[in-house]
Amino acid sequence: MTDSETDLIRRAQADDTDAFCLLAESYARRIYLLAFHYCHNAQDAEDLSQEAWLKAYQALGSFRSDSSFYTWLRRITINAFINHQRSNSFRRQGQTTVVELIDVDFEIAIESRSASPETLYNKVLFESVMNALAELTPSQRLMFLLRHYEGMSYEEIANAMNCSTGTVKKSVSRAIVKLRARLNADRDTADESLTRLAAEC
Amino acid sequence: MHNCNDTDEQITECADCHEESNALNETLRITTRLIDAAAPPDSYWPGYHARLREKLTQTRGSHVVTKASANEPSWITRFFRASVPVPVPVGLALILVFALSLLFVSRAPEQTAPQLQVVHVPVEVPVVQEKIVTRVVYRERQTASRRSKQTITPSRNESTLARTHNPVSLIGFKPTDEIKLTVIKGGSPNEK
Repeated sequence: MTDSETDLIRRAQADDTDAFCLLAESYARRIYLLAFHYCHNAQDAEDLSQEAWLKAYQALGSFRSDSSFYTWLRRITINAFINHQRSNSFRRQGQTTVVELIDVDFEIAIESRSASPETLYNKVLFESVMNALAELTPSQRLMFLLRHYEGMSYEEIANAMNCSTGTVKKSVSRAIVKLRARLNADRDTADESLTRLAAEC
Repeated sequence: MHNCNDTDEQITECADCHEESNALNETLRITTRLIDAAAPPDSYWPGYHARLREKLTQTRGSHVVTKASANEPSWITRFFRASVPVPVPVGLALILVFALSLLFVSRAPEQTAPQLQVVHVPVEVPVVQEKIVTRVVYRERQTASRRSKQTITPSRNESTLARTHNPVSLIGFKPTDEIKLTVIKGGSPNEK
């Protein structure tokens, strides 16, 4: 934790909203991405991530610098996710929004012919990953993200999500297997699309 | 998909396991790289932070209200601190009534508590007494009754003897010269 961050936390604890907003700017992207991949919808991701920030703001007085600010914030975010899932379902389930966005981008890229094949390949791959992640349950997605995106240990995830380490390992393993199967299936499609694009160019 | 125990040794030795491991690592690498790619463009964030700030301000307002209400004293404190505006004549009248009632109470005859008086009252308690009564009972002896019974039913005894003993014959009987008399004492108390 840097001095400026400690100072911002201290000021935020003294009800300084500006200081808290500066803190939020530092971590908003990571929290938003977690929320986005958890609920798989852009609008829900914004609502969910901002809900996590509000809860963090309300609970800021309980932050004791035992852990890093981000670790503390991530714990609050995970709890907010779990509570949100319990209380009500997300606005739009599944990959609909994401896939539509990617499809549009892909079509625009093909039409403009300005994008490089590598970029297009990445976009197709991105679509595949999003679809593959969408096939997982929200809990599986969250566990996978916490393990392989956030770099948390299985024990930390189990502790944060109130489940056993075995459950976390099993969920992450299932998630990887599903992702791999989906990516393998989609890789052929991506190759075909690139071949088609190259031929048209 | 190859099914094998994924220990490090097997992964390096087994070609299929090695291939599987590489595929999984590649999947993870691609996935984690593309997770970042889902982030919205930079133009999105000012609006995001503005909306967050607005929500924070609203929350802070309610937070301040909550804090203010939390700082309020409890109802007990408020009860003891409460004051009611009373007109002076009414207050004086109340004080006068209170003083008079105190005076009346102090002059009232003292009611002493009734003293306890000890009274001795003899009480007769019926006691059950045991009385021993001696009574002499005379009863007939058994032997006399038995003899009388025998005299009453001689024929029966004779028949009984005849049945129990064999008939005695006098063949070979010689009477002795001497008379031997045996006196048997005893019997009934009246016999002398």
